[in-house]
Amino acid sequence: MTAGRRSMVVGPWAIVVSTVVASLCVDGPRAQDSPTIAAMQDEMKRSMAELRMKGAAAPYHIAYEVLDRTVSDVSGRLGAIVENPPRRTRTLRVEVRVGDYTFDSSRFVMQGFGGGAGLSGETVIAPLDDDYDAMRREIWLTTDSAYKRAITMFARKKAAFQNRTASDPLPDFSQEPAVETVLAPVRFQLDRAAILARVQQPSAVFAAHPDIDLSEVAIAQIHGTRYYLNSEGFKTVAPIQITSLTMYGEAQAGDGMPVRQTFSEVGRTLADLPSAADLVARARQIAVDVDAARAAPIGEEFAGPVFIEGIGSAQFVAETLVQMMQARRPPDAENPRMAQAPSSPFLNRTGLRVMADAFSASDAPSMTHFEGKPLAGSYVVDDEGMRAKDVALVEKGRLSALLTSRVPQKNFARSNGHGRSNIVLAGVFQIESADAIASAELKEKYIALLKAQDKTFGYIVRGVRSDGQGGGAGPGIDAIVKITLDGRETPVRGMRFGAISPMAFRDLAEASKERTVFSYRAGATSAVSVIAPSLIFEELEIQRVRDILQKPPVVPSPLKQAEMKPR
Amino acid sequence: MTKMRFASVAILVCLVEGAAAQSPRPALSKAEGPAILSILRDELSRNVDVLKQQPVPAYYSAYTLYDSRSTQILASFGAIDRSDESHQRFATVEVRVGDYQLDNTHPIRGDVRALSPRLVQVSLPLSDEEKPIRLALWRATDRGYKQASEALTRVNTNVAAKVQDENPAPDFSREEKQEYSGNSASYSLDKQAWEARLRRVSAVFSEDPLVLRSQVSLTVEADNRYYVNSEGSQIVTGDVGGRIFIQGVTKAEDGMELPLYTSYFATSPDVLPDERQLVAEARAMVDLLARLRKAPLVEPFSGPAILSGRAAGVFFHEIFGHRVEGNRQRNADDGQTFTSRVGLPVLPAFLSVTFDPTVRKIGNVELMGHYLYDDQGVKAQRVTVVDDGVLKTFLLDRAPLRTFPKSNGHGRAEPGFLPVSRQSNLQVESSKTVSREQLMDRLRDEARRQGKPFGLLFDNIEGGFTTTGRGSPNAFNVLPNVVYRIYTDGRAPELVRGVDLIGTPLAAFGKIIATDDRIDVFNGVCGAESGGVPVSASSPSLLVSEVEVQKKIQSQETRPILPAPPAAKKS
Repeated sequence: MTAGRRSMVVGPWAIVVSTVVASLCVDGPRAQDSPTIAAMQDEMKRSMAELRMKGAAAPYHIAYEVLDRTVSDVSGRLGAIVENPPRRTRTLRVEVRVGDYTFDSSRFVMQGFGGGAGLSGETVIAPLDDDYDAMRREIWLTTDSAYKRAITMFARKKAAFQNRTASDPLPDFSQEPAVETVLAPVRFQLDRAAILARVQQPSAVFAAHPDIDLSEVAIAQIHGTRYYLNSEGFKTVAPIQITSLTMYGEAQAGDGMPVRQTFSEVGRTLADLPSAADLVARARQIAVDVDAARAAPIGEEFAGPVFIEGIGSAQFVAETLVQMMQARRPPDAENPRMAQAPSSPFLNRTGLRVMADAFSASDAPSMTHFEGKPLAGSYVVDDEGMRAKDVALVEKGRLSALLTSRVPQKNFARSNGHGRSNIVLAGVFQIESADAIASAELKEKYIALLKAQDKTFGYIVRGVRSDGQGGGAGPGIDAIVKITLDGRETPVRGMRFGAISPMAFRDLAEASKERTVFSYRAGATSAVSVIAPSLIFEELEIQRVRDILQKPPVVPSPLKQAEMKPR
Repeated sequence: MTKMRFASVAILVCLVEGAAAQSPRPALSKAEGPAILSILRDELSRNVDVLKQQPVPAYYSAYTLYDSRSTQILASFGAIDRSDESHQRFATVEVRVGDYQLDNTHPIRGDVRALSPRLVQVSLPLSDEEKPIRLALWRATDRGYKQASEALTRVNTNVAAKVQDENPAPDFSREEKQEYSGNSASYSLDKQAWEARLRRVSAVFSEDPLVLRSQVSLTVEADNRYYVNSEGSQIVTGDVGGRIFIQGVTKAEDGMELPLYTSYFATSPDVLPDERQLVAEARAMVDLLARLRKAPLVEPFSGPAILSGRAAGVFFHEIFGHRVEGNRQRNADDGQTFTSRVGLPVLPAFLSVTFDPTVRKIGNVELMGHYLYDDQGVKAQRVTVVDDGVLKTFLLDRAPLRTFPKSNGHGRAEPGFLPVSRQSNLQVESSKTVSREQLMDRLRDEARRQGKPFGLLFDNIEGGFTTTGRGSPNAFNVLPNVVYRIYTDGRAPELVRGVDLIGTPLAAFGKIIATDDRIDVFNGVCGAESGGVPVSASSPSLLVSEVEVQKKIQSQETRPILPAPPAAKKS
């Protein structure tokens, strides 16, 4: 669609047209007034000037992050409510680095210190009150212990490296010009009635489906402010605002296999979620789909062309391609046997083909809406204070960039503003094809492809699950139909993808013009949106799930008992 | 190995929050009870009716629903750190298959990695709506039944394969059914007033920049428990517990961490200490922390000592209480210090030890180990474990011993855990008391007799732990934090720091020579295999002819490099 096409223009800040920019002001007066910021600034200044242990290096870099968050969640089961009142917390994270940008105390796993303790600094509970003295005291003590740990880490890292010959030495921290970003705070009003309406009525739908033995509709809201300050002059005051909804129904098929249907949505505010009436309709659909899936046969294993349709396609991309584009560099390990491999298989593939020729991929955090729908993954500044950049990742099938933070990577020395939640995360990730065709034509194309490969049937996947890729297998599947060459569709169950090779996207055969967005929460304060067309892959593997099955319950469900009387 | 260690380590930690205790209210004594109770009862009998007809029949099942409302406020150095309220409901489901003689909970011999019996826990909506509650209970019961029948298969295999006792105790005791309906518990709290109060109390610690960490907290909890079992018992209890904690930590120049704690407990937030008392307590703590910082390090020492009432209470809880828990006599992997000593003297003849959950108070101090019914639906009762030095019985849950076939109401658990025999209100009683002054004189006399320049006074204690397993040394460790040297030459008592009190249990009991006449109470939460349960331990001060102390393991981290930042408020 043309709207989608236009948003693929990825010049930095070219398409930021939201209210966010309007509220983007440098060094706002509000911030000066905040005792939290003042305490951070004062203790930062003192620590950089004076904090030094005899015989050890002084810190060359200090960063403070205060997360002020209020979390609330409400869920409904068969119309009854479980509610957690809003809980507010403030946490302080202090990162102290000794050494220099090329080799410092960060990114190092010490033996005997647990799995990477201190990798992202020291985190403690900070006062909720806007109390300068209490906050500064907490910062003082936490900086002290972060510095002491940094000295130990640095000494042990130096010792570990003195006899290692590095083939490709990479700096530990990228040098970036300082940025100040002070965004207007968001007003938050907990609308309890509106939440209850979205939870209670939809969840009550499942009471009329006695075979569904587990179901829930839940809304979680998180809002607050992130304060970030570092000794290079970076400063961020930015709102945090995420509202997410999950809905699921689960039943057991006759052979004991669980079947599950889910729906989820992530937005900034409650207004970004579907209305109560829409959700009731969704719940009804889930209930009908679960009942259908229960009755469906288990599918056959298959390798060949696979058609992934609608939201299922965006979910599939989120589980596979997005992960491969996030260039996360694992920490170095004191014990070489503990060393981890880099997460992205594409570090050495710049300029090479990673998708079919007609395809492009990008990440555009500046994009706030897609087809009128707000995008939860959009953001202005990352967790390291870097402005989010829109990045063209794949052009005409060739890899041009990866998503990066301030941890330099082979071939990617600088951050493009994707250091989120202490790792690298996409913002608004999208793919599209220059040769896209109308959705309606895809099924026909798919059948033709099956015929060309002498297949008697194929699979259309419509829902993909994010449940771990352990055991060498690919993503799980929530909704799948078997399609025969006459176009007839029959639902099946009990299937998942085989392992997805990084090269799978080179074999993309077709894509639709219409694209669908799927947003999900990633990390404590971030969300990612993925926009993708329906896709036909020339070859993927569909396998049976190998879960151990529990026999069906001995006693029938109470929902099936006629004698249950209203109280 | 791992399981054994887990099962046998027991910790009395005064730091654990979330204490519950019982509110003294008369019984409603209404068989029907609240609506929620009949939902539980109906679903229980619907399930049991089917499950007892199965080829592997369920012979017993119990549902417990916990409804708990709580408020927690934490403050440090004059500012609020957290202020949260919560309301949650969940249920636990227990299913037993087999029969009273041999069921799925029978200990597996020779395999320390064997799965321990478990309960199934489910969270529930907050309102008394029948459909979602019954659906959740039904699913949990099915899971519980399947777990139990798998476990019974393992038990049967194990019984067939291993050498067994010729006449083993049954796995589950038969008890009378109980019906009780107490009032539901609730509390009201002026949260803002408490926040302001805690800010002011916690601000006292900012006066000393070397108090590196401190916290003042209030936790109030109303716990309502609804219990039904397939033997026809139904019990409703409601309890309110309020706790205040004051904690301060400083560091000596050599880096040693020095913590002090105080806590208060009451069954209503209204009777907790007022602000003046709390501020005074905080001041006294700041003062004592400063003195501790300068106190000399203790040297390894063996000689006479007085354990104050609180210290003695913890000492008894650790070295004695855990060893008279009935389940430790059943398990072949346990040390079984006392198993074969019933009827024999185990303590000096002037000492008796009782566990009495029916007592609510000693003097003005409310006891955390009070309850009316235990977590297996058995009525609480006073148990005299040692009478004039002679061991009479053990603390028993519904897993009986051959010689003690019935529970004595000590099957306890943290909500969500499977109950086992645990302590309640431990009371050490003495028939040979002297005044405090006389006891101090006797300490000096004893030191002189042993040729020591001083004896030790253990004035306060932060907690302790003990190991009772066979696979690890059968020893105890209590953690004293306020200890004085009492010199024989009339010098003033001298505070020392870094003291660890160590030793092996049986040796320690024989060395108690005398007690004073003032009972002191330690309220705390005891952690062991069935989770954290609220307990108390009270005792007079004890004079012990010989204790052994060692230097505490020291933190390697030095004091902060920079001095405390200047305060904005003062300037």
